[in-house]
Amino acid sequence: MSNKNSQIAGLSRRNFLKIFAAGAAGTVGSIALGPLAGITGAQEPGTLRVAWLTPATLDPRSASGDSEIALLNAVYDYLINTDSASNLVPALASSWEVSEDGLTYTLQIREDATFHDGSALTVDDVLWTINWHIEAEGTVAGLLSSATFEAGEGNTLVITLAETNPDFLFNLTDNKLVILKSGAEAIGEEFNGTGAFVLEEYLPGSRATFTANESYWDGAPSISRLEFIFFDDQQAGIAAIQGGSADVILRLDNASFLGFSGDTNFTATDIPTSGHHLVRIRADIEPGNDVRVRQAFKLATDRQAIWERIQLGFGAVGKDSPIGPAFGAYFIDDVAVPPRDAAAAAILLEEAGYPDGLDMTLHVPNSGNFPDLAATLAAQWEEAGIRVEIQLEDENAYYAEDWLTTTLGVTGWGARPFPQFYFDVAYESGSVWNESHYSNDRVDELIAIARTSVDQEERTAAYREIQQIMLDEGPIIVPYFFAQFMVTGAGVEGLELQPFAGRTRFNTAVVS
Amino acid sequence: MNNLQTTSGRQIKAMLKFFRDLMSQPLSAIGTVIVLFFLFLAIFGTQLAPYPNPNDQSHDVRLEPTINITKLQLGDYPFGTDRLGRDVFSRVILGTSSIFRTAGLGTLIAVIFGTILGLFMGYSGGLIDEILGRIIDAMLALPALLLALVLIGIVQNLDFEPGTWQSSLGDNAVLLVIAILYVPIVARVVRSTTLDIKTREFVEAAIIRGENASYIMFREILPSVIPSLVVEASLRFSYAIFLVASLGFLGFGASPTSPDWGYMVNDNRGGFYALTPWALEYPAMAIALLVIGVNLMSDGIKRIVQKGD
Amino acid sequence: MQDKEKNLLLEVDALNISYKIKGDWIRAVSDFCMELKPGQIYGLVGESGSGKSTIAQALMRYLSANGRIDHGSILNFMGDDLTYANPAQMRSLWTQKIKFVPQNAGAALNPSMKIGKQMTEIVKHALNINGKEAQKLVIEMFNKVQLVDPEKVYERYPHELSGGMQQRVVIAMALITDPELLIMDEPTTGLDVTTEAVILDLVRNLIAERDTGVVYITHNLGVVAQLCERVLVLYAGEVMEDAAVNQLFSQAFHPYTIGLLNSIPRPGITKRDSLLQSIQGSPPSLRERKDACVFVDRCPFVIDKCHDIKPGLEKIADNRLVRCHRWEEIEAGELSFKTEEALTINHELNEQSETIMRVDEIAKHFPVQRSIQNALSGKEPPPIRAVDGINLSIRQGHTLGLVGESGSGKTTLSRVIIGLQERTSGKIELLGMDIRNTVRERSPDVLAKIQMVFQNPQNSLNPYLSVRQTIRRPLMKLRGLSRQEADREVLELLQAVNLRREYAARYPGELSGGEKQRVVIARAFASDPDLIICDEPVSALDVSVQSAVLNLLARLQDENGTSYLFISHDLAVVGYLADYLAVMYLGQLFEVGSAKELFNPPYHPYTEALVSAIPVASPEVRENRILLEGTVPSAQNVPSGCRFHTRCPRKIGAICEDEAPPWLGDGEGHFIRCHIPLDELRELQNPLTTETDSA
Repeated sequence: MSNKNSQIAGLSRRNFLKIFAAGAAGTVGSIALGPLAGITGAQEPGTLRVAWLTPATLDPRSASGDSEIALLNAVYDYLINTDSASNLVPALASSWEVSEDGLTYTLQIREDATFHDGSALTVDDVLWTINWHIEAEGTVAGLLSSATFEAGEGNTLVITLAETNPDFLFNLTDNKLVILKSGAEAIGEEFNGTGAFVLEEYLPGSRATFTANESYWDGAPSISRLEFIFFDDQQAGIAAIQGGSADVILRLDNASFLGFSGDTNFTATDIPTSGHHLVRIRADIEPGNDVRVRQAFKLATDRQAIWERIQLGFGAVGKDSPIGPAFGAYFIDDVAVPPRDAAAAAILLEEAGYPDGLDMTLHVPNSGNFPDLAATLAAQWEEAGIRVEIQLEDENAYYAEDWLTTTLGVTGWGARPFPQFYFDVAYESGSVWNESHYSNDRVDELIAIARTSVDQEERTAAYREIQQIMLDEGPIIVPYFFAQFMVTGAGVEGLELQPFAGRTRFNTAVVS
Repeated sequence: MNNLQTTSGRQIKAMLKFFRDLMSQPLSAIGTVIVLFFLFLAIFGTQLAPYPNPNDQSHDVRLEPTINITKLQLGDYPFGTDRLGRDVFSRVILGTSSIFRTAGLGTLIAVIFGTILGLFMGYSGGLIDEILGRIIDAMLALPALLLALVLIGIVQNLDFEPGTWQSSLGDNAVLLVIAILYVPIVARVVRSTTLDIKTREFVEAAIIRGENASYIMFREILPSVIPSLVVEASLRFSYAIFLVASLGFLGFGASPTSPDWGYMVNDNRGGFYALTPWALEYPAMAIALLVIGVNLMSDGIKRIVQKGD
Repeated sequence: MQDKEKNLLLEVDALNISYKIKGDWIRAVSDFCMELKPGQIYGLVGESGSGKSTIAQALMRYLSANGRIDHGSILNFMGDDLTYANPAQMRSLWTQKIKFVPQNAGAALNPSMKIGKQMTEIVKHALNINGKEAQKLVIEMFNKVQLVDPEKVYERYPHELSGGMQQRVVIAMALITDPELLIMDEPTTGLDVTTEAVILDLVRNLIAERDTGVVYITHNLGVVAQLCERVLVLYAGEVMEDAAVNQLFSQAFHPYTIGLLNSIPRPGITKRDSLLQSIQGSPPSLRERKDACVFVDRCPFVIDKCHDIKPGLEKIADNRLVRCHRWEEIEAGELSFKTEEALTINHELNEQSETIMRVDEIAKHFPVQRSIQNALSGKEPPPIRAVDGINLSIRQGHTLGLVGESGSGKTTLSRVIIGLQERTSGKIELLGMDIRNTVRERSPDVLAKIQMVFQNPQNSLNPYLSVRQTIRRPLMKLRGLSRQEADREVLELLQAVNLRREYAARYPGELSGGEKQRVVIARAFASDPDLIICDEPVSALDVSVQSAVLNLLARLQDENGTSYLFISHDLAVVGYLADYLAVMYLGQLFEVGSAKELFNPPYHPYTEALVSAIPVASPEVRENRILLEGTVPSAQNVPSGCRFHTRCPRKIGAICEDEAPPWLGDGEGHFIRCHIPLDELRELQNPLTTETDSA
């Protein structure tokens, strides 16, 4: 990658600024005036300013974007958190035990957490919150409805499962499952949580300001004030960091991040995630129902090249399944992906009955890296006789329903702390988000094993076999896993970047 | 017609004279040369571009432009390569034909239908003229880009069976939108000229002969309308180019692989601009240059036509 | 010599003017000279393209940007050399001493300022007096130019005045600073003949009071005869002849002048007396300058010498100038114009021929939009009664001349008859059959039978169709000929209108005004019509061309037996061509009779005024003219009783206001609508026709 960078070598800070300012200024409507007005641009000691995109909703039942979760994460707490290596980290649940049969979980709710209104956290609050979600019948309900929840002795939460689920505790880390005070009202407008920060003021579309919760159970934050500054688009946020009117930005595009990487005035951090982009073909109808066709697509693709061009070397190369290096031992690191061979792909197509190749439409959501990914795929496939016409779709419209029905499409999947989720929702026969309409009996078997087995070895073996099958003949190509980015200005330390940016905790930040 | 030789000989002579007049003034000469140059690129683009596949990503990424004006050298990658390793020079050349086709055909259709409509309105007068005139005024009251987006939205959201003529309408949405958008403007110009010509005695002579309306409109009035129509058409063409580029910029009528100049400008903003500014600048310059060229040329046309009358 | 120079107001010698056209300097005026004395009215006569307007501008030193006075010209004003004066110097002269009256009065007035204000501005600036004094002066001047209600005019805007009033204002503007030199460029073109008479009279009287020298530019020899002391004839930018008016009109020495004089129709002379002389050909283009006489292509007396040597401007006896090699022969009477093949019409008028067209009580009223006032008060505004009860009939082979001034409704009548306008009431019969209202409703046979020749040759032909295509169309459409047949017929028609075969392939842009009009006539004849309506067909043409077209019309009628309805405001022209005349005023006819009779008393008072207003090209006849006061009333508010009573100089009393006058006939087809009995009129009125002997 470095010799590619040398082509843009010599990009001193001045040059970078010059080009950057031109680029930023040239962006249509990029500078949102609201948050910048009144901000002098100077950093006040003890205050951390974070740039986010404008949140849409702060209701925990529907909040999903980075900024939305970030705000909830600041004023509330979860039962359990995850770290960047996908390990479980105690939060409001200070410890837990699993019964031998794996069907009963007992979580100790900590005694020293208090809500901002002064009242103490009890297991009743936890139960109330869980019920609230189950009644809302949203995604959280789907995760929890297979279990029963009861208060146990001594402020414990007892959870009983119908069948074993080695990943069950990960469900409790779901972004939406912030713990509310029982009987809370005006949820999403008033924020009475146990979190490290107290919401001082929320100006929709402009900013949110917080003061430190001095009596936070994990210790008072090192910063006295936290500010979220909302921008309408990423470029504006980047410009703010550049100009010094914000200290932190989490989530940038690879190109901008690359620019910051070379700049000594900023700290650029990236961590690998399990989030990935894939291109899938429907395995139930022509032409994808013929395994040779699917293999032809795979053979025509050079994942390494795609990763280098699109992700600029950040993140990791994929192997056609949702499991990547972020999942550690589960990943088939040792298995080699067949190198790209367009000629062989063409032959396969001919055998499958397509001597003239294929003409298809590739549906692509119109955001982020997807168009570039589509263009590169199209370029690579053309040589093998696969000619695709790229149809850009509005992202919202695409994910409303088209993504599940198109024959050939590109989809983005967000990071999850455990891989079972992907298989359960997308690769098991008949699963709700099985966009490729894939149905493989052996894979179904393996998914079922992995779902309930508490035997780590057994699990690992199952996952590895699934990956091999999917690499050989599955309906998806996963060229890469993307990285999560964070850029902080001078003097900011102590932040631990999370795969889901909104889960990054600011109580550990230090501003000097 | 007798003397077919002389009649088309006259026409050829008239066209040559027109061309000479265009080239006689420096500004309009510059404009005409620019337009002809781009027209040449549009027609022979695939032969001229070093890499005729617009999605050819086989080159190193983010190479700087190798063009050197002072030494008159092009180099391997005159406009550099973009972030996906595509030769920007080739893409700019290849993009010429699509913009000419869309803007050109769109303008042509608008001119044809607008002329018919304008002749009809100007000649009929009365209620028909009133009603159609109001509709046109309403359309013209909206900003062109806004109206274009609305129309595109409508056309694109209609679900068509692939392969039918309706679906090719969807593919050519931008072209169609240009045509629809500019019909009212052309109609207005034609209408006002028609109103003027209508009062001339030779038109009255035709009426007295009992000629029917379409003869009078097309054989008597239309030839006198053509001078101002030509001016308007060339002006519309320049607006159409800009509109196509704008719509491409907004993502309409273009895909990530197509060498649409407007799309290329949008595509290379933000973070990518820091990496490969040339990938934005050269398409942008192409748009600007072509629009300026067409504008200068249409100024020249206007001058010739108005002096001649 | 010194004496003479001191007396001269304006001395111009060897004036050459050129224009830059497409990069080349083209000579427009050559060797112009003139000596103007104070108090003298000098006429400058020329047709279009003669350079007279250019000279006017040059005298003012106000040539357009691409014009220049060439080296070697001398232009002395009151002894000062103005040849190379700069605008600053000229400006002070324009303010007071040198003034200009333009052709189009309306364009000379600032439409956004009241008349009074414009005038006082000029006066204040020029005479250095204050506002009050200026105003007084202006009102005085308005009285002098015979503006009725000068205080009212003072407060009006230009568009609220009639053409005649505007022209008077402009003349007032010019004379108010008591200038030394006044240049008037066709000031009465575009005005009605009666108005023109008034203005001419005015000018004559005003100048007589002062010492102002006037250069009066016109194409109308009759006006020159009535007004000017000396006259200069221009052709293609050169002086052809320069003489005192008496001299010129008693005997002209230059062939061009002779041709002009002979081509003017005289009242009382009709086509059956003699055809008009016309001058063949058209003026040379400015680019073709040769060392030959400019008139060489058109001169009936041309000899070889004329082709080789350009005649100089010779000063001959009696203060005359002539530019011709053969003037002495002309003076001696040795040369006379070759006569045309047939100088007269072959056929006599057949009084009993079939009636082609009859018009019964035709009326056309234009409804007027209700103003808000009217709507509120519930009153329906009266319509514009453009044509209000006209009865006419035309026999086969006859020409009916319809005379009227602006506002008479004659144009509307022609449009109703031809079907471009829908009539409000009345009948039109063609060959005994009723014909319908509009063109749309009429059958192609009917359409073929009535055709029209228009006024403005510029706009009468489609510039994008060749002559052949233009004439062919009616042949194919109305006569049903095939293309080949039509092409042959086109050539026949061209020959009939004296155009060579080559013209068939030409386009209107390549034709002169007269040639265009011939094509229009050919087109009209293409469908073999029974009746052709000619709406002012020669008004837009130069005098020398006019006569050719009139002759052509007369001859064609003689050959084909076509009837004409000939409409014009020019009584002399109509009188020449028509067999019968009808005089129209404010929507109604007031006199009908044969052409010969019309020019002898008794006349209707209106006709009387019309006839007396004709500027006759003979200086002897400067009798007491009948001048009409006021302007034509609006057709929306038609005067009660006799419509003419508001302006009639012979109004007898209340009966004229109360009762519409009856038709009185003299038993021989001559009818007048008046309350005064015919015999009385006959006694009161003087014969106004002239029989002059011209060379």
